[in-house]
Amino acid sequence: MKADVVVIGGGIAGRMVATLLAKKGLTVILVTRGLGATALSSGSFDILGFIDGRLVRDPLEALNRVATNSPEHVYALLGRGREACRIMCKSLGLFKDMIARYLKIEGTFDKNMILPTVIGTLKPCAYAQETMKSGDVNSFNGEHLLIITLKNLVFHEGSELFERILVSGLTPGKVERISHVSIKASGPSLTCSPLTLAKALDKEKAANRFANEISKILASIPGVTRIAIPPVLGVDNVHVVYEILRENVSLPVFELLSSVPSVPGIRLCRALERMSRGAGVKIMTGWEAMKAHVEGNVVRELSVRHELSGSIERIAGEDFVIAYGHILGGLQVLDDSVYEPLLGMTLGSITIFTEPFKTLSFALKIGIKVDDDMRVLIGGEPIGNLYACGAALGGVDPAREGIGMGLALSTAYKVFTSLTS
Amino acid sequence: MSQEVLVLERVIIIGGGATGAGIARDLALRGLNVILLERGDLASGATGRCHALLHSGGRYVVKDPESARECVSENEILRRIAPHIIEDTGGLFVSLPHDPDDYPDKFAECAKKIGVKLRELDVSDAYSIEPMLRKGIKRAFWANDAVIDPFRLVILNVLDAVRHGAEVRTYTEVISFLREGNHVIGVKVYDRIHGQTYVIKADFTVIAAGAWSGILAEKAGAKVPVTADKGTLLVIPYRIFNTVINRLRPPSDGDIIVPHQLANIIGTTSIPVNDPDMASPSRDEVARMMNAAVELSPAFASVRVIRAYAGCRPLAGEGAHGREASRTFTIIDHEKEGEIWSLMTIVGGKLTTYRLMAERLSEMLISKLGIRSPCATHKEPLPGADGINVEELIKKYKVPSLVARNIMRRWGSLAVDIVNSARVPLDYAVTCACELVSRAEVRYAIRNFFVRKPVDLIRRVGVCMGPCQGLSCILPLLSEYVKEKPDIDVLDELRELVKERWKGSAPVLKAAQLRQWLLTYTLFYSAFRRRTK
Repeated sequence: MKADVVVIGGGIAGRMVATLLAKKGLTVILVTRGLGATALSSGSFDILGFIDGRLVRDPLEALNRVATNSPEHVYALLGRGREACRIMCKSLGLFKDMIARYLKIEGTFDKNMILPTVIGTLKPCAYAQETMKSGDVNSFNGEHLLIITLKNLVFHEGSELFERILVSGLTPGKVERISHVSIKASGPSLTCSPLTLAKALDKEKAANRFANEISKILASIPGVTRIAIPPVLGVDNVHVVYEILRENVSLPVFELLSSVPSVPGIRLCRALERMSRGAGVKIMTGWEAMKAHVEGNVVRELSVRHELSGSIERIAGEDFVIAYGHILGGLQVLDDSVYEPLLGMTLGSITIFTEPFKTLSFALKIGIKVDDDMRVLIGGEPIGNLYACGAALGGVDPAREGIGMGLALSTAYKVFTSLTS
Repeated sequence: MSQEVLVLERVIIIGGGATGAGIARDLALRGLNVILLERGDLASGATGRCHALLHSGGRYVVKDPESARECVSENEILRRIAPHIIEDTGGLFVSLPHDPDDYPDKFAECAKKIGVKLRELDVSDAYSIEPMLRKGIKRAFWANDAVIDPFRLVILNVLDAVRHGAEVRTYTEVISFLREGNHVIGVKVYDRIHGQTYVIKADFTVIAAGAWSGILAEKAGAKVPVTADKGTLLVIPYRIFNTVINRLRPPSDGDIIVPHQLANIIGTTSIPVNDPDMASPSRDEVARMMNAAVELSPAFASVRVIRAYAGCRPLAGEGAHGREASRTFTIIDHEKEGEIWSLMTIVGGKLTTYRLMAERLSEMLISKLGIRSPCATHKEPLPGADGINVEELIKKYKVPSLVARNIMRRWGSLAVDIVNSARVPLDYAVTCACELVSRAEVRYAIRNFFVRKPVDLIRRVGVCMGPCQGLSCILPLLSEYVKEKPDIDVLDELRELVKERWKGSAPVLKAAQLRQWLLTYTLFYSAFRRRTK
């Protein structure tokens, strides 16, 4: 097997770089084991959410500051100051257009939306799926919020819990009143997973019934101004489901940001799959990248193994891109160290702290080092045709800093520019 | 805030572990008015951090015949009064290639002398019982070991005590003892949840606080020689072994593996510590025990450890040394010591002998109070022990079979009350998918099993104890709790639940379990963030 570029990883970074290259006319093979950390994500697009624990209002301005003042920050890889901002805007803009046919994404660069999660905590992000946008608490003003819970959904029966955590985090006056209602969505009668429910709602008939039910309830609760729903509004057909809902319920309706298992994350992955396939990327799903065969300082081939059959193939390429994510993806944890399996190198060892979460935060920051052109460094020397992007670069703690999709998209774009310049 | 409230009782028992709960039940069954005080939650000390073994006595025959004898008789009694919380796994004592050659014969001889029932097996029979045992074992014996659920044991003792008029107060810390001359006439306590201080007066006070007994006795002006001896245990989320496995060698680190619920528990170390509150597992202990476990079965080389925890044995005697110290118990009547009247302390002992300890102490206590009333705890079964048929539960009460079986597994015939409390089919929805705990069970526990904080539910119904360590069940659990008891700070409780699970995960954090925790981290970190309104 042979391609111009071989991309390792089927998350957002890998799909982005593969799609851009394929659209440029290159032959691209994308190797992926299957759903990874992108599927576990909330499916929203954060550029920069927190600096030193403080909420970032304007992510672009904050990015400018970080990329100017902190040359060791992973965002400094995009370039200094305005250049980093330019790459971020360009990458998100391109991505939004490329995926628009499959998934609608909305937002702005210069103002973080503040979106409620299913726990009731708030997450800042620049862009989000269209179904989430009305949840932006910046736009709340004396709302009467209706929280809908689904009786047959296993993880989301806790609307009192949600309400109390949400209210504790909001400025007074944002929400005047909260009502709760519990309905049974289409789908299996006893509790089922969010994904099962979302698949059931993908069917227009079910979506119509669901929307009708909600509008009936609205008639009995006067004065509702906004409606929060668990994130189950369809998987492949979300746009239609959301339209039906909006037509029936003439009020802002929004999905909460999910915990695992995350329907919006899986929805995003399915859209990414269709986007990259549509652009002509050859996709090998169910294959695990095993080893990069290096000669001199270039990678000649990649060994991949089919996870079910165990059969092994070699893929030759001009260039290779690592986009397999962090330790929830392709990086491995061996005892106390983080290990890069393709080149067989240890990236760093994890310090164990007693304080909750510090250890994990530390582990997340270990990653693959790259040069200014995003080429992978071994012992300070770049491999000529091996690039890395996305979470594999480490350097950030997505949970703490609110840096996730923005980093994946912008570094993927940067790899693309390096490869095509 | 201090608020003086006076509560009058006949006997105060300090310590909500198996011993304290056992004493409360014993005295309550004899008709005494007792109050049980616990500074944390029931079974949150050494009782909830042991390996849950119902000893045949085999483990002690060589070194500690007295403990072995106690275990033999108590093993029989507990099987009678608490069959529903005992899994009769049986136990194997095996000798590995490099274990001492002379030990098995010595072991068999001592066991015979003491009356511990043993049966030597053909080595091939041992492998047919436990095919995952390492190759090349030299000898194997079958013993009467079993597994008892320590959390349920405590709650059922307390429940029965309360049914007989006892009172229980958790999160109630004794801060000082009230004295009249040399008499202890009560205690001053601090309610850690409501932040109130008040007084409880009684004719007699009993300290059954395990490794903390010395510190407490000192507050009363008495002296209790006790050594806190840390034992660390590991949880593997698989049952590689289905019987209790012991090494035929003098007890040492990692030489006992116990099947408990859906897991295997590897135990244990023995390290004297100064402060029982500071005893926590170290990564070094984890590594040592895993090496020892791999000696018993190579299968342990490729499993993930989901949790490590450490309990403190309250060994009787000062400077009592780890493995050498007897596991039997001591009752101290402080009057006899010429120190303090109306105060007794009990230290030492084992989970298996908790009932015997309670009986002995109660006998002494009532004779001091001039009461004659026979012990009933060896005859009266614990709540839920009267057998009911699981098929009946499924058919008569229309409970989904999986749910019925799991409620029965934990609660015996109390399952009838639990399913009677369910109103709609959705109450049988599973809250914790690892341990298969239904919503009805969680709610019943909140209402009936002396729960004062959400985190108590981990000990009551086993939620959050499986491989995901709370990732999937913390939220459903908390939302069930809020419905029952709205008067809590949900973020505080959420953080406490996560921290509680983290505590046991930190020492074993690597490979798969590190990745598992990343999910928990990304999901719950926002709850730990400082609020920026």
